[in-house]
Amino acid sequence: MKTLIIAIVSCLVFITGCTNLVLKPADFGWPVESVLKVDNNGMVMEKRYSFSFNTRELFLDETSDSSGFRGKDLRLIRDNKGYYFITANNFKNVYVFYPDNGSLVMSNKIAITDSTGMTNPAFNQRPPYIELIYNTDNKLYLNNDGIFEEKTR
Amino acid sequence: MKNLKILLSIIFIFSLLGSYTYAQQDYKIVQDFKSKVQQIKDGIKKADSLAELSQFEGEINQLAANNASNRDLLDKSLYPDDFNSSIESLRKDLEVRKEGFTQISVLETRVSVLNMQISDLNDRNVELMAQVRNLTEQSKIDKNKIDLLQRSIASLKSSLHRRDDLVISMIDSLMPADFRNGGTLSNQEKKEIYSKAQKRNIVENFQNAIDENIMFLKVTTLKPDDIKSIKDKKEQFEKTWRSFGPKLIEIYSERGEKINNAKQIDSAFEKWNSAIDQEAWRSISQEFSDFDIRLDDYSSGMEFTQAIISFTQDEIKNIKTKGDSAVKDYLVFADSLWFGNIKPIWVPYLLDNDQLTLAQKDKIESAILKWKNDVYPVDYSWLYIVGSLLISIIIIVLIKRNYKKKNESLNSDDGVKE
Repeated sequence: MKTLIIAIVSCLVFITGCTNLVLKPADFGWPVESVLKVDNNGMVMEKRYSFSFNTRELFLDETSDSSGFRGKDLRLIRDNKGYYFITANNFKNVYVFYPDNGSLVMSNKIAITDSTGMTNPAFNQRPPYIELIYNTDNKLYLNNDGIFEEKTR
Repeated sequence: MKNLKILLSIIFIFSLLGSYTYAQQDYKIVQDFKSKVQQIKDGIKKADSLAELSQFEGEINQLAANNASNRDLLDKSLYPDDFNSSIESLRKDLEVRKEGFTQISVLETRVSVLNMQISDLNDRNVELMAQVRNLTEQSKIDKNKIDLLQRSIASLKSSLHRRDDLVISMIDSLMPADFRNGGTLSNQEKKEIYSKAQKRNIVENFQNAIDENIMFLKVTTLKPDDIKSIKDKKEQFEKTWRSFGPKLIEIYSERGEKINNAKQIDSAFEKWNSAIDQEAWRSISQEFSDFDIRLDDYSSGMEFTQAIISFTQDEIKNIKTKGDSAVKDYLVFADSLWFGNIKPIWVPYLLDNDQLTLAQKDKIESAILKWKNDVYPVDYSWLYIVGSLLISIIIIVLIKRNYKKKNESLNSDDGVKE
């Protein structure tokens, strides 16, 4: 019994020591989307928030073309929770990423259109959602889990 | 609790529907705002008149009113600016530019008055220059005209001085304050400078001022102080031209106009410099002429030294032929002219301006001393007299000593015999 009590107390001490410090609430939302030009190496650079990443894999996934990034503009916004929403002209999907250990890891791939890609997609920050406007008059509300509501003008 | 949830959901759906009616890209709103701000900024910068500027006041107010509903979005998105600071920055630009136009308008009035004054003074200088030229000729015959000539020269000098100051002021007033403090000129400012320089004949007036100063040097004989003040004036003109001229040449070149006229000013400065140097030699030559002394022509320290040495050598050769007048000529040259005038008045100026070296001055004075020695040969008779006296004294002393020795030896012989 004595041994059991010691083991339980030890575990409690260990668990307490391992608890992560959490600061909240935190708002990661960008007020407006960024439109970033992809360079010849597939890199995009966000100057205001000072970060960059490679887009080759993203374009490969979307277009199945390893050089599909050339001459493209990427539209990017971050929601309140810190997820990055990425898409581009003629994309059928919106990609949701979160940052992890020097990389962006895909959290969700939200299918928007079936056959043809979106024309002139754009993101707006509409907390707690991200508004997606595409094909001139289509609008969707997204979060990292997917589409929240769809409206057609 | 359930009711509250339903109420919140209804509010959220209505807020979504509200935004739905004007669904548009936030990015586009921000970009349009930025682009409109830049467009107004450029317009303000390029405006040619106060009237043109006033239209931007309305545009700024319109921009502020149209985007008031997007203020939150713009405040967050225009980092490091915000909505208010962007609008304020436009209003500030507008005010600064308006102020500039008001100043330009004042300067334009001032410059146009200056232009008229310069034109009057130019006419007057031409008349005075002709008058001085005539009086110089007449004063050679009629000494009574000398006073009149001096007065005319003084008037001309003062008139030139006033005109030159006006030309410099006019050029200064053309340059934007920013440029004078090391800034650069915008295309609009270049355009304005070109237009004003053309209207006010800046280059012509500048060159005219240099030419007339050169002419003034040629028609008058001056003292070192006068030449120094002209030299200072030349340096002031050169400084003004160095800071303004290259930019003006560039502005003219860009329009392919009057470049030759602007470039001529550089060579005019060389002429002015040479005229100042020559004026010193010409005035010195006049001093010699006033005493009827004719030296070989000279226009440099070396030639001047050689001319005086040649003159003194000729005078030395002619001492016997000239007789008594040789002394008189020497006295006029040495006492009245060289030591009385040239050396105290002109030599310091020539040395200061590197037109004569100390070695050359010493050579001249050695030549004058040699001339003096030949005019007044040294009398050595006193030396013979002193020598003869010394020899006589030595002989007397020696004779006395011998006499004394003889007497002593005689006295000692007498003592032995006794």
